[in-house]
Amino acid sequence: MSPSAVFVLFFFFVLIGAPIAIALGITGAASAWFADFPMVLIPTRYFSSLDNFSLLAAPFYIYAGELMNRGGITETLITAAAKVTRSIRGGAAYANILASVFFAGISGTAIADTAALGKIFINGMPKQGYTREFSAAVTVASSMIGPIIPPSVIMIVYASVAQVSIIKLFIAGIVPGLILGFACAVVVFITAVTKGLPKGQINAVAKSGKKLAFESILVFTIPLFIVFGTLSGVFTATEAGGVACVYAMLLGVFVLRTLNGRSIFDALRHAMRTTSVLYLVIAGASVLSYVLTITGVINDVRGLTVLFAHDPTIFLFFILFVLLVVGFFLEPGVQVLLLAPIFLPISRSLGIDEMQFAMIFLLSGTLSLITPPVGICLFVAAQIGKIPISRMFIAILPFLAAQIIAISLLILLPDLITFLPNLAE
Amino acid sequence: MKKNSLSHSLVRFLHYTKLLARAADWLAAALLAAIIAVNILSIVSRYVFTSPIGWGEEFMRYAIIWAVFIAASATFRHGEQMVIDLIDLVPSVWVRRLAAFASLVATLILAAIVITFGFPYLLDTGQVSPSMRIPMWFPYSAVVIGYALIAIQAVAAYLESFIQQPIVTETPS
Repeated sequence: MSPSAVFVLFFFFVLIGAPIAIALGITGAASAWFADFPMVLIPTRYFSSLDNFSLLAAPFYIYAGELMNRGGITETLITAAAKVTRSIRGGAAYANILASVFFAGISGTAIADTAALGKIFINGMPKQGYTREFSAAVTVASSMIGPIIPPSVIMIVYASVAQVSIIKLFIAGIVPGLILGFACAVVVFITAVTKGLPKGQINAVAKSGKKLAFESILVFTIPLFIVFGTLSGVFTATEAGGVACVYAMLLGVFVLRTLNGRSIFDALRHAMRTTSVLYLVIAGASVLSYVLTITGVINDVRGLTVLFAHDPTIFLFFILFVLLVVGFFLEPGVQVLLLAPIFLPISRSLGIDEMQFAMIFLLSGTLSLITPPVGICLFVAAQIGKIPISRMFIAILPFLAAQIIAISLLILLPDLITFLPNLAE
Repeated sequence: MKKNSLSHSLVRFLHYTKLLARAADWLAAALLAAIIAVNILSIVSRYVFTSPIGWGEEFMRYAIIWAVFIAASATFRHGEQMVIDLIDLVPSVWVRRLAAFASLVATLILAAIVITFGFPYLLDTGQVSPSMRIPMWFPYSAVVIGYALIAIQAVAAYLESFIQQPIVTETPS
């Protein structure tokens, strides 16, 4: 099949509402069939693409995040963030962003971030005098920090596709994540100055300062533990995820006393279903991308790209643009699985730092979670706040612009990304 | 009379497949718990005991594949698969029905491909895994059995959607 036929077929299945995993798999199967490949390739790829130890870090971090959310750690983080931003105009909006930065340190996905923080902020901020759309927009925009500040599920997938170190990606994400947070804060600041924002603060839980500080320290030990434990070689990044699960369990049962056998098991079921959805998409994409690679379709696409990408900076802006457009329909995981293998060799031939390319790709890809018409985080937030989705699209625009500017800054100043991972080496 | 027995067997099919989906859900969760336990065990055995366990990584790799394909059937039953639901914006109920049907057919065709061409893997070739020494058909069969379960639950979820939102409401006689 020609490349265009492949994409038409794929988008046909996606648009009729077939599961993405099925759309990928069936398009891959059809391409294999028309290219006269042995069809045994399909079950084989399904097995071999998932038979990968480092990918196992994904369920571990998904489960750890699930436990921490159920264990009331979210409330502790929000209250801690609210204490910091208490007296400023627009304080609750800044607290929302800061809580996202904190939450990013324990969760691996943006959707988890939107869902967990959204419950408290999207319904709580309007009581302080914010509009519903603004409350939801701040939550959604700052939830993008979740998959950028480690741990990160999408980075685990990227690491296995690009064959780069998970821990190096984790460390490279810290500064870009903080810059994203800063970009959101700038939008809040401008809004506060031009339209005026209320003071007031959100209090998720009533806890004494001492207790809050103690619990926050215990929570923040997790990301530090993962990063330093892995860097010092005590365990691998994958093993660290399993340790984080046990740590979160102990914290929830013995310190916060919010988890019991029932909630631990519910978290397991939920985490396993989330993992299953992710793994089936990975397997389906691996069938399709394998066939595309072998039949040389990817080379054709590469040929097109090289035409206008002699300059690394232009190439990275091109990546930002392409992923922004593709992101209207495809979520970041699928983008990593299908598009990263196409663009990686070009990036390498242009001499772009592995970490800079990874971050620009992941940041641009993550935008798809907050862009219409199918930005999943927008829908989660709209559902929580019972806000019409069209009004969400408008409210998110200033934040989207700020994030695009932040990504552009990271394209122009690669040192911001590469400094920390180089230091760690 | 005939219609009644048909709807009766449909209800039974939905009931049993629901139990199957729940069992799948629980089994997959238990496997994830086992994986986390083995992960801790293998770190501990490396530092505390003199001999690290050799089979740990292999167990975790195969167990997660089984867990993924078992849990997959539950996600298909509960409509938790990742989809783009733009089709819901189409006003015509018949277009949406047709799309749902086409999507089911796509799932069944893919399942048929995986099962047909993956079937030879289920035969015992005498090949065993490197560290646990278990026959290789066991981990391989996760994909084939997983897709068989997915096909069953996809059909059940499709039929269930008709019961929940009947297109033709029966006129009271």
